Amino acid sequence: MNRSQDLDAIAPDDPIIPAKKSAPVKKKKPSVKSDSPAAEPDVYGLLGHTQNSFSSVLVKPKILSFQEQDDGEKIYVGLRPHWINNLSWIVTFVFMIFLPILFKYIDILDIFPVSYVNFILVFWYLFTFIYAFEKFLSWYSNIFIITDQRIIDIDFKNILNKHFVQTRFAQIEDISSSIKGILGTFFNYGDVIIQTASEDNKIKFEKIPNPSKIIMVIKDLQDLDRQKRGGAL
Amino acid sequence: MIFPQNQVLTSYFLSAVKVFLFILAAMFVFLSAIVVKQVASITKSVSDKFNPTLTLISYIFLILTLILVLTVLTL
Repeated sequence: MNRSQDLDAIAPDDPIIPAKKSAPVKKKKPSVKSDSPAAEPDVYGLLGHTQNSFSSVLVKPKILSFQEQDDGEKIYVGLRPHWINNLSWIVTFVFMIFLPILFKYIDILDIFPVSYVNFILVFWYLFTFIYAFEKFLSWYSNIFIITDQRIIDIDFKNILNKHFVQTRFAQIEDISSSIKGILGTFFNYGDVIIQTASEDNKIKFEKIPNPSKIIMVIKDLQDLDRQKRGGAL
Repeated sequence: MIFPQNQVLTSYFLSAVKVFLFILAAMFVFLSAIVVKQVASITKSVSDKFNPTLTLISYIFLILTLILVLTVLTL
């Protein structure tokens, strides 16, 4: 028999080897659940559950909403800069608390009457606490929100200036992240930069924890948004 | 006594300090008012569980600074 003509036929000298049982291939679980056409991304699986309201990462927060929120718009993640960024002002605050004790040793305030000294002390401590409160507010109000429709950056700069930037998932062109410095590497925080097609062509999430996981969440939501728009068309 | 040899000079010096502290306290009231405004703006923009607490703290600061201004007058 010409083997080249009939390749399915077994030649008498061909050893018969039983076919290897192929191991069942485990399908990698996608981070987007596939039980419904527009399944929600598993943000709890990626980021875990929120520990407390002062956390830097708020996963599906029930206590958070914003003025520009649309009806039915779901917040997936609320982000603030990593708490370690508060360390510099906390150190300054502690130093300011103990500074009057230092003045006591130098006897610099002894030239003033007691009533004046007391007033200066009250003034100093009030100033110290307002300084700390203002710094805390700057951190607390600097919030990045990822919803099912868009990405939002709300920031209150220089006490009175409100900065609001948003971009829809369809407008996102590129996402990148960077982790800088010793603290950034040690505590795993960095910047996430989102290039958009809009006029304000960049949104920067500064010093947020787990930048790589945040990118994954954004990508999952981008896919979900694409699915939804694909279904709508 | 700041200037033991001269009572008048001491009095002038303390008056100048008092004016300085009054201006400082007045500026402080202004700063507290800005903080109150900031908190109001934040609470209006982003709703959170702690917003009432933040608002309360900001108003406490404002009241304390107003008391501070009044205290300067009694020095």
